[in-house]
Amino acid sequence: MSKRVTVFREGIFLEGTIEKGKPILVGSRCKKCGKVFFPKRDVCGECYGKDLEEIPLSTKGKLFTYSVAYVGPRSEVPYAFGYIELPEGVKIFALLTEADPNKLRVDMDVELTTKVIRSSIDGREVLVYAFKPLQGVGGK
Amino acid sequence: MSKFGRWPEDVGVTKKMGEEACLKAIEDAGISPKQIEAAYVGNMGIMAPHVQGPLVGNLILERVGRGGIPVTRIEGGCASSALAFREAYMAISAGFYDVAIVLGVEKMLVGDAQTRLKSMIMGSDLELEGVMGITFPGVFGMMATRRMAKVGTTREQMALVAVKNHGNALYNPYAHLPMKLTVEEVLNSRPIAYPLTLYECCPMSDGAAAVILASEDVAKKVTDTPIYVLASAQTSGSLEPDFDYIVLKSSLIAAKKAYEIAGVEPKDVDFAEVHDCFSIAEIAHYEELGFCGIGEGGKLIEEGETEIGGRIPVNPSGGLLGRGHPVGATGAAQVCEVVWQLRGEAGKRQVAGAEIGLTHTMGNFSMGDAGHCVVQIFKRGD
Repeated sequence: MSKRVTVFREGIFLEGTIEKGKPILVGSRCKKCGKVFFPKRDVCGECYGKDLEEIPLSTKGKLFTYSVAYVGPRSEVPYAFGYIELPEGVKIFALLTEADPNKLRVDMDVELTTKVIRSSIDGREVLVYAFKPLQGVGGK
Repeated sequence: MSKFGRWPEDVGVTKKMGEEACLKAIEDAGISPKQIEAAYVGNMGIMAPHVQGPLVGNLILERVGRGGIPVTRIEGGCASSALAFREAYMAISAGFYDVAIVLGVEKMLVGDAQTRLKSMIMGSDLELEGVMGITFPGVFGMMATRRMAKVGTTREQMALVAVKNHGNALYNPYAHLPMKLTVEEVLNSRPIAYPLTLYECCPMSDGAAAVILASEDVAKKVTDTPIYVLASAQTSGSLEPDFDYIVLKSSLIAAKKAYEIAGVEPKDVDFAEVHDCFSIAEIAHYEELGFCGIGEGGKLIEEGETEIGGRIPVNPSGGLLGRGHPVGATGAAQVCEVVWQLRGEAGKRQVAGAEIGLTHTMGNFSMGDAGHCVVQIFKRGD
């Protein structure tokens, strides 16, 4: 990872996992009611419990929905994004590595990876999480 | 209202548009500016500092001869002036004032499209969505994708919304994009955010709209045709991952509350002005507002039920797609349309015999739901 590239937000990845090339996202689980949050939280938004533990989130999930931006605040169009539903019950907004809508399907299996992009807010190069489809889309 | 569309790129243009809208509202209401005791101004300030945002309401009120009264500027994204309307309504209901003015104003057409989209993402969670380049067309593109997969909404049904609303705008002199379109033209227009195309996305517009609210006593003295506010309900999206992206929870709950407060049911509503920022959004709103069952919105537009002359006309004004969408002004513009319709002054786009009208407005968006949602119900005075 180049020194000029920054992870777009601290506390998103489990420490050391990017360096190893096996990124893992980290969330919080409320010890009182069991609700899982991503990104990490200090207070449970469900039961107001203040005892939350850090947990590594599954690296595989399902593509809940998606879209492809052909016009957008980032210059490198088209780019795709969607919500990924993880087994822990959280949905994560993320970029997708595949920008051809014909190769994407609702409910398909996707896996966590990373991507360096130019931030749409300040133009910095940042490392963000992204998801890639695990299988091709047949037929059609 | 001022004309919605493209106004000159000038730092003071919001004052000019707002002044025009306020003067028209004051004249229409038949009151003296001196009767206005407070002003509530919806303005996202999306292109500030290139145009006047902060202080814009005070500057306008001063220009229409009412400087010095309490002026409150409210930001709620695309729902800014719906929130402003509700604040004025509550203040009058609580007895603080007898007369208040609600103004919505926005200048969006500044610079190129990429610059404007960059400004618009202010209305998302910047840290998680904005940085990655989420777009509002993409937010509703994701709704369309999910609905196509789960409840069978079709691209043709979505295109019909664009055909209807751009078509209704042909009869609205204030509209930004009046157009006679076919389903094919909509589907073949430029892709913006999969699966949505250009004509399914509301334009960024410039414009202003204003409304005078008064207590019942004052209203009865100045007009023979008062329009009553039966309910004004506001909710916020939970912004938690419990969304289904078929319909929006904030809208469902706001609608339920508004119907309860007003003591009316969906079938009693004669027409609605809803937040059709994108074609697919209007289809979901049919369901959230109870005009049909969940998943049946596509069929409703297909059967022509939401056209002027249908069972429940939606967006006779042209909506956000046709009338245009100067974000801060939209909520007030929807109320203007409801008032004209209920008074029978809507000309060729008149919904015959309309007695009860509804407005639905959303603003800002994150995690599969709107930041703010306002549903209001209005009734013609007897």
